[in-house]
Amino acid sequence: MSAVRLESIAKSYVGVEAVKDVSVTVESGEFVTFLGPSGCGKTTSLRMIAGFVRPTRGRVLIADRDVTELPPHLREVGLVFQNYALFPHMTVGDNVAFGLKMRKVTAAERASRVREALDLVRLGDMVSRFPRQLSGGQQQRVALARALVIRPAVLLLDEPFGALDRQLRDHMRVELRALQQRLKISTVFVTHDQDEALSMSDRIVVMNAGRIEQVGTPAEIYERPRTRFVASFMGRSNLLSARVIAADAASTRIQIGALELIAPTSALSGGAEVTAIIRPERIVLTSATGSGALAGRITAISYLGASFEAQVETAGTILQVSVPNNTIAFAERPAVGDEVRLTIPPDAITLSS
Amino acid sequence: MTPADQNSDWRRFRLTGAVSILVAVFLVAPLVILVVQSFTAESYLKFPPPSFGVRWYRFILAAENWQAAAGRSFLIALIVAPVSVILGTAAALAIDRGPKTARTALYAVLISPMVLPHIVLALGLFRLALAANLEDSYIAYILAHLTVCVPYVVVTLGASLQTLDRSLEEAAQSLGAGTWNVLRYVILPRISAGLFAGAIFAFIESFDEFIITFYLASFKLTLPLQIFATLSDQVEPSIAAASTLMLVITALLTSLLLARGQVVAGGKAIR
Repeated sequence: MSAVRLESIAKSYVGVEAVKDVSVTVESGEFVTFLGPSGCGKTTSLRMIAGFVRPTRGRVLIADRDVTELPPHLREVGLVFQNYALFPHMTVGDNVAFGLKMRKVTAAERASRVREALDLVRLGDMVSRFPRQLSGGQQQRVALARALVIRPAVLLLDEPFGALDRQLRDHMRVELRALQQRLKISTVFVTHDQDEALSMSDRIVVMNAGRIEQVGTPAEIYERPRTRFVASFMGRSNLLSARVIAADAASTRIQIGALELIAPTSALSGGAEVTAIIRPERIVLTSATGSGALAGRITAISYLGASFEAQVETAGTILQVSVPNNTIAFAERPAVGDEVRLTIPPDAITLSS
Repeated sequence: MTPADQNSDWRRFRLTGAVSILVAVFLVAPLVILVVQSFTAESYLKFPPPSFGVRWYRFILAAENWQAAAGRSFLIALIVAPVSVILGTAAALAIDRGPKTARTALYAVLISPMVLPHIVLALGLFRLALAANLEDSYIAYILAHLTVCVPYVVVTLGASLQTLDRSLEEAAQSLGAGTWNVLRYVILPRISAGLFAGAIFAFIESFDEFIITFYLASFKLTLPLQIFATLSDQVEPSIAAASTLMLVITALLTSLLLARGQVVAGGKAIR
């Protein structure tokens, strides 16, 4: 059984297509993140699952039931907003009990389930507080408890950590993921933050301009970006125009300016124009006495604490290289003008047509 | 706040304060004269009264025609206020959520009684009442008062609805609340201050209404009409006493609103 199934959904507003032909299946118990810049259609997609936006085309299925025509209050989804959207005139307990009250759950069962849900988010002693008496993080956890207590078929989270400060956000990330795995609740998470997406998701749906760019596990998305957009959106990348010189069963030889590199096998043939995508941290940088195959020179460097971000020129090509700040390959800290050697392992290169 | 800050605050306050006091005196002076005169012990109006007493309050509270007029005014206002709130809330919701073009048109029509000359409105309503055979009837009074009271509710509620966070409604919907439950548990509690203000405004507007009721009435006089009738008959201190009582009732209702406003503001301050 799949928790959510979007079948070729599209949404156009007057003159604008916000979502174009999106198909995604969220399996039961899976944590799927819709990731993309603002205006990419991720929130519209989420709102189509929740029922607040009616798709222009396509079908929405929740727990294998076609809900395309169903209003939000009959869809059995748990929704958490960026601004929490707690009812300010109700206590924490009444907020969490609201969904149960709507379902006509008896008062006794309501009380025990509210307690259970609040314990789950470690706010058991806040039942009679009002939302305004809680911190942002606590309010967000109440919102989560309120959404979970109805045991929804799917939990929908719309940029839930956007209003929290960085430390709290990192903490909530770990907590939410742990909770999600414990309850095995199917979850759709919308964010523009790649760190959130990478650290929490089973699968990521990268969206851009109303379309899906790539669907895959965090490792696939980060290490094997299929398009230039995914590569540039997911962290820093070297995006280099390359030409295939030769391709055989073992490897693909490519040329970037005067630079020749070995890339993994591909379906490409000689002469093809491609984009070579290389993550800065996959390039190994050593001092001039090191064993790297390529010689280069540092043209710019910035210190980031945990690492150095270096710009290295090799055979006329400028590469971004990330150097961990624990390397023993350097006698001294790397500096502008230093002669260096580079190694680019074949599996560090992704080719995108 | 440093003493220097306070000093400059006071300096800034000097001009605006002086103007405010002048305006207040200008507004309140006629009322003061009226209130003082109402406590005369004489049988004619003179300022300042040669002697004081509560003779005229006793008189109007005992007089059958004054009692009947006050009873009518209260009865009508007590019906008009809640009905205005129901109709006005429904209209304000429609304006808040309706299609854009309809919204502006609807709003313009609904609040027009606030800006239209009441004499014109009165004439139209009078013809209507005649045609419906309803002149000098409570039904006509109530319907007529509704036309001028509903706009106040539309305006106060419109302001309340604009500050309403729509994601609260969506949260309620996602938790299983249909339209009615969203209204009952989320929208109405959030706009209760606006509802209360609208009800008070509607009550005062109905209680004070003169021009339209004047056209519709023959024998069933409301309090303002009774004052006017007495005034045109003979200038008797009873009208000063009645006017003072009306003033007190209106002032009490308004202060209720202000007190409640402070409670609401206080609640926000905690947040």
